[in-house]
Amino acid sequence: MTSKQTSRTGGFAPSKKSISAAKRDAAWLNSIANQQDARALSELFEVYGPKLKGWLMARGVGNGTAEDIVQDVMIKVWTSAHMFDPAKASFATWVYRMTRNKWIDHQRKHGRMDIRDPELMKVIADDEVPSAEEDFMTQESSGILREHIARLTEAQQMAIRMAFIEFKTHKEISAETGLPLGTVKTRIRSAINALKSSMARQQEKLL
Amino acid sequence: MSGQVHALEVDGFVTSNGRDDAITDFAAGNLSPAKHAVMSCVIELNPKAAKKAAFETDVAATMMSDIRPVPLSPLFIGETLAKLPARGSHTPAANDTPRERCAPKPLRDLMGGQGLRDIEWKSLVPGVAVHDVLGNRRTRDGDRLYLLRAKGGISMPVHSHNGEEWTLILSGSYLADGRIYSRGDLHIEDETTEHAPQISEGEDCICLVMTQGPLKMKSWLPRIVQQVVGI
Repeated sequence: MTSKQTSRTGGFAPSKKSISAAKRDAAWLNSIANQQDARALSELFEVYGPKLKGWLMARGVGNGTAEDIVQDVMIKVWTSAHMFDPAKASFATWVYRMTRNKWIDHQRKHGRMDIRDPELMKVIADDEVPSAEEDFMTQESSGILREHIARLTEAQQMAIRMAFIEFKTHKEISAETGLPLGTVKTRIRSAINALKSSMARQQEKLL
Repeated sequence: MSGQVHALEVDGFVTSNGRDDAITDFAAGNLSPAKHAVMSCVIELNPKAAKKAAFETDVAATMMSDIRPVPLSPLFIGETLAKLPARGSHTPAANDTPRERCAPKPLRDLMGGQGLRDIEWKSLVPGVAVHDVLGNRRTRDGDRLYLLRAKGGISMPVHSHNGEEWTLILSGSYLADGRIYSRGDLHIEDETTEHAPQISEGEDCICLVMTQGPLKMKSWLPRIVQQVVGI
C-alpha cells in the first residue's frame, strides 16, 4: 500500500502489486495475440481460471458446468486476444464480462423449452467481445478501485457486497432482509455513488 | 412534441422510476436472459446507460476477488489447450457491420444475424404487430422477449401487467404518462401501473419488449388476439 505517500492529495495510487499484475496480464495477452503463445494462455488461466470458476460456483453453478463455461471463456480469450486493449479495459473486467455473458447464454439455452438449431446458438454465444461500453477503467487504473472500495464505510461495503457478490437482485435482497425495496435501492445506490465520487476526486487530482 | 418532458433528459436513461438498479443487476449478472438481452441493447444505444454499466462492471470484476477461488481440475488446462482452434482462422462475424441500423447488435445476434427488415410479424390488433425474438415464447423463468411494431398515430390498447414490462424503443416514439420515449430509452413498468402508450404521428414505432407473464388487456378484442399471438 502506498497510501502514506499519497494521503496528502487524498487519493490513492495503484499499489505496486496491482500495477505489476496489470503489466503481467497485458504481456501475456500480447504474447497470445502476437506469438500464439499457448503457454501465456495457460499461465493467464492458472491465475484467473479458479477465480472465474469460484464466481460461477458461488452462483450455484455445478462443478462440471462451471468448468465448461470457463473453458469456453479460455478459448474465447485465445481467439480474441488481439482485441484486448489495456487502454480500454482491464483484463479482469474483460474476462469477467465474457464469463458473465457466457453464463447468461448458458441459462438461456438451458432454460428454454425448445432449443433451436445448435449452429445458431453458436452464433449467439460468440457475440460478446466488442463492446459498446467504452468507459471501462484502463488496465493500469483498475487496481485503484479495490483500494477505494476498502475506504468505504462498513455499511457501504456491505451494500456493494450484497449487490455484486451475494448475487441477489434488489427485490430479493428486500424480501430477505425485510427492508423496503426503496431502502435497499438507496443504500446500494449511495454506496456506488460514494465510490464513484471518490474515484472522480482522485482523477481530478491526477489531472 | 415540445412541452413534453423528454425521458432521456430526466433520468439519463430513463425509466418511469429511475431504475438504476437494473444496471447494477445487469453488471452483476443477476438479470434473466431476456432482461440481460434488453439491457445489452440499451447499452449499445444509450451512452449514459453505457457509462454507468461500464463503471459497475468494473466494480463487479473487482469484487470477484472477494469470492473464494475454486481450483480447476488437474486436466483442465491441458484439455482446453487441446481444443484451441488454429489462430488466424478467426474472422469477425459478418454482422459486425450493421446491416440494418435499427437493430442493435445483441438483438441481431439473438435473431441469427437478421435485421428487422425480413422478419415475420403477427398482427395483434389493427396497426400493431409482434415478432417473438426467442422463437418460443415460453421460457423457464416466464419472461417473454418480442419485438412490437405500432403504426404512427395509434393508441395502444390499455393494459396492465402481471409482472414487469421493459420496453426499449428502437425507432419512432410514443407518449406515456406525460413523457415521450424514443430510440435508446428504456421504459420500465411494473404490475402496479396501467398504461396505454400513444404512438407519435409518422414513423412506425418499433420496440424490443420483455414481459413477465401475460399482459392484462382491458378490452375483449385484444384479449382474444393475445391468446393467439401469445404476449
